[in-house]
Amino acid sequence: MIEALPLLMFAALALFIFTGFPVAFVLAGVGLLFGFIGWTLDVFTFARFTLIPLRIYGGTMENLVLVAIPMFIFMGTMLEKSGVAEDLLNTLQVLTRRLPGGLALSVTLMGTILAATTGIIGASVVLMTLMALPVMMQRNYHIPLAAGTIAASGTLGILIPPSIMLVIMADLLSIPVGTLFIGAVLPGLMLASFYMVYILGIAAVRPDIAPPLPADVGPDNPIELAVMVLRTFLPPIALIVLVLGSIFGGLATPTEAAGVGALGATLLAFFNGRLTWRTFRDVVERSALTGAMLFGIFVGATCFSFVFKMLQGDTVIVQIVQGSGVGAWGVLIALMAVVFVLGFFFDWFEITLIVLPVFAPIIQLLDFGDHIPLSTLVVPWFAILMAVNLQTSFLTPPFGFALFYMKGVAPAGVRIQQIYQGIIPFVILQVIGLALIMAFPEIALYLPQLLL
Amino acid sequence: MYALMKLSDLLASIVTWIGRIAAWLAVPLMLIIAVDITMRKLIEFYPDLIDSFMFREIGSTKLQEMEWHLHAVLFLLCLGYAYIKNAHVRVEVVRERIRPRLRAWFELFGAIVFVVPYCYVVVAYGFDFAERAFMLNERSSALTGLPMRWIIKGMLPVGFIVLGIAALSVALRNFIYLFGPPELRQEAGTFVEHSDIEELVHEAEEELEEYERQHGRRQTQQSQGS
Repeated sequence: MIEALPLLMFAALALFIFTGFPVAFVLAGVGLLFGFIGWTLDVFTFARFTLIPLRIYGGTMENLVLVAIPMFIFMGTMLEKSGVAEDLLNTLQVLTRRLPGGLALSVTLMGTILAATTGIIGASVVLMTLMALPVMMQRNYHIPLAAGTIAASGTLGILIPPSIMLVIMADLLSIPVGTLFIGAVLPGLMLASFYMVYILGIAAVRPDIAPPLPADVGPDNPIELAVMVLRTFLPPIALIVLVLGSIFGGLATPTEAAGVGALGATLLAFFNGRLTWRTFRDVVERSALTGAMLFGIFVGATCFSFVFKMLQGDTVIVQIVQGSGVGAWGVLIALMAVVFVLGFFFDWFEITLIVLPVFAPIIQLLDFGDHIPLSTLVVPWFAILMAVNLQTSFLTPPFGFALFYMKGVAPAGVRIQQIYQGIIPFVILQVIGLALIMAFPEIALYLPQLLL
Repeated sequence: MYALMKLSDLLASIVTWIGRIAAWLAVPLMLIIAVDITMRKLIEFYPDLIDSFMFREIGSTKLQEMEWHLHAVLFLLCLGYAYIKNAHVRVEVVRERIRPRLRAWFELFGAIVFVVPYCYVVVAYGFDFAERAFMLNERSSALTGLPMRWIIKGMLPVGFIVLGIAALSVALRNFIYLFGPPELRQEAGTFVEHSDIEELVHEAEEELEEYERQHGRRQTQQSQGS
């Protein structure tokens, strides 16, 4: 009975989460509930709850690494209001107008560039859908292709650094944020290029679902074009180089880079003439809400995983895994399958903050022999695999975060079935990407070894 | 019921005000980070600065501690605000399909059974935690760090008191929705009948309009061309 308690905690968590009550509070509530049950069974004492404020203080408040999160959120939110996204889409359309599927390619490229500057999915999918979907429909794009492109590109933000998710993973797994950031660069770009190759291919084969743009969009004059390109690309690229460069070059910690990035985004909005008092206030309040949402889950998960550990939950999990005798690869594949399935229902905040603290002890025990060049790189490799895997959590029904937001903003006439249909190829591409990084860890580990 | 509605609104507006003010802490946080990094770069080039007031009396350690202090206060005081604004993430897959009345029951139950006890635990023990820091006159473990640790430790119970107030406001609303007169229902049903996505959409639409307004001329030229 007592051994079953930690597993029952997960069952109760799942049950209450599906009521639609905020996840942060369900986590905390289930933690308290099982503390209480443990108390009636004499395996827990109430006095232990005194440790919860200590945990919150030591783990979440007094943690300079996590300060990067509000700053990255601020930077992303500010950039969304700075007009950079619209500029990028306009210019990219002009640049890709002669390619098959040019508009879809523009959206993917815009997603990739913006991904490197944001990482807040809800807002970026909403903005990209509002911006790109009507245009694509007007140009007679096949709706599933348009929807899939937008959803997949809009969610690259959690993978391509700087990404809030990678900061959280690094914190939970006690590895340097810089290592994860740099490790995620190649996998992120690989996925983005998969999307583009797919779009190019399908548009070349079936021009009817991705009609080319009329050739007279935008300026033809090379000088005018060059000015347009410079004006559009320089500011966001400069910001990315500033933020990532200072982290990778060891000039600044991720927290400092995030703060400077936030300031840079504010200046960028200011010089674009977009920084009205109202915009500024909106950005400040929206970032605070996003941050509170994230840290609410942090604080709730603190209570949950604390009680879980007190009830010997981590020992139970390790015993189950070791008892199953499936070996390192079996465990890895099982964990990836769990994360993939969880992605049908949850998004990355819950998965990362619930699953990682529980599975971290197992991951540290895994031994892949020669497959991973250095044993210290197993954990970063696992984190990147999980980050790529979580891309699918946005896109897989019934509750893909991106799909949910997209459905909320898509013009009338777009049916949810069309969105589901559209994301299938992209989910397949993501799974291929995941398999490749599993088979060839160098994709994730080459850059960290080279640069750190 | 009308009095309860007033009370719920009052609690919500208190929480909202606290959150809105705390949200601005992101700006000093951003600036302090910038100052800290500038100072540390400057000292590489001008070692003489080490004797200046800024370095002697403030210094990097204090600034960095200030960074996490601000971050902690920012998110703690906004927890309740995010609840009132319905920004805490929910799993919508079942919720979308159930009747608003049942949603209201879940919300009422959750606020009373999950949020309030959690707030109680954190506030009660968090207060002891802060009190101990006050009694011992605890300061940063770093020699040049910030004094008066009880202030930041005290923010933990304060943040959860605000969250508790938010939970009471939400619980009241859902109570009114379930048992109150029909004319109050619409007002009380903000949680169970609307989704937070609406606000995001509204903000994004405004942003795009603003862009179009600014670039209006070029846009129309392009669309004429195409």
